[in-house]
Amino acid sequence: MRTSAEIFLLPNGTFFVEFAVFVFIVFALTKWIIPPINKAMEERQTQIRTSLEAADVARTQAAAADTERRAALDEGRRQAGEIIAQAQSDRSSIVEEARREASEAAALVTVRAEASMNSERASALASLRREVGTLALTLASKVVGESLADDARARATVDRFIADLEAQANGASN
Amino acid sequence: MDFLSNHLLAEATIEVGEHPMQILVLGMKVNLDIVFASLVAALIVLALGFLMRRKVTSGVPGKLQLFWETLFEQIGGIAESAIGPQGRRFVPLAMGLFLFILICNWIEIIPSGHNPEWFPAPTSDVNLPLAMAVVVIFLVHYNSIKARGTKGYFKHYLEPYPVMLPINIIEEITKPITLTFRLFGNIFASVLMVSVITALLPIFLVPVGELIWKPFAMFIGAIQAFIFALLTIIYLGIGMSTEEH
Repeated sequence: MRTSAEIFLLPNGTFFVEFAVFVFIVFALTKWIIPPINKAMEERQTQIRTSLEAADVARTQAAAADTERRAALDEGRRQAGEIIAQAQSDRSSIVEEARREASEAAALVTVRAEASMNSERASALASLRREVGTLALTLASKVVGESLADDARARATVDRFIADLEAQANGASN
Repeated sequence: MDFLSNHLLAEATIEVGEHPMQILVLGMKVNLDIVFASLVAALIVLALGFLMRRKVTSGVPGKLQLFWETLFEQIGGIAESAIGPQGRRFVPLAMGLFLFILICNWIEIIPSGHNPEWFPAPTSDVNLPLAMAVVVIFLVHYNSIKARGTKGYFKHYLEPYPVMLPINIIEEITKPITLTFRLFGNIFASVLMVSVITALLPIFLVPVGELIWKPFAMFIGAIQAFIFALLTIIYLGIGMSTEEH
């Protein structure tokens, strides 16, 4: 017993068994256990890199889409403003045009009415003048007892009388 | 006194380096308890590995996969900073060392209630640390020759001055020895400490002593596993560096 205690620091046959066990463990790790870990970790890194790149692309696209949206919105606003301004100017020109047409039509109507009034007045005056002349001659014929109808002088006298009457009437109304 | 030594003191003597089961194979003694415990530790490491491998995913990793990935990432980072981009080749070796030593160191925490323990730390026997150190040192020299060429490899022993040759040779010889005995010594001392606690404390205080000691022993076990793996990477880095000194 004492001898074995003295030499327990020296290796014995166990060394070869332990050597084999240890070499097998390293072999198993190298061959079967480490490669799957390595592969899984590399795959994960690839996945992470890919998804980061995809996220970058998506972010760029989102930014581009946002810029486009803003541009479209600005363009829309600008067009809306133009349309409103155009509509306002159209409205005032339409109103102006309508007003002008209406006043022109009104003026035309007035002119026509005045013209027809004047002509009617003139014709009424002429017919009245003829009537009054005829009546006066008829009256004078009855008074004188002879026909004065064909006498040019008598007609001129009547006309002058009527003209004097008109002058008097005008003078009275003024 | 007889009552005291028989019942209250757990053990009268502390036995060192005793193996309850030994067989002779080809005229060499094989410590069966150490072989058994290291096989259990190896099975645990491989089971953890193959369980992870079955459910490995590039999506959200499970807890086991996360554990392996973290270890892979950390050791890979150390290897890359010490050796360079080609250091990734040695990650399985360093991971194997770390995990296997860790499980071997921690396996003795399981109390079997027997003396000697059914699960002694295989690292508390000189054979396993020596086997690992031999593998590591072989790889260091092999990769050193591969990286520097045979001429560069031997020239390195004459640097920085030819007079340093003996010191350089001694340094290379001590590397596997220190690697072996650092691990073996620490874990052996840890196991010995348990024996001392068991032997010297009154039996009703033994659990208290073990409760205090065993978490510390686990801490030492983790540190030693890390140091072994780290030194392996550093030795490989030194051996493969082609920079002029």
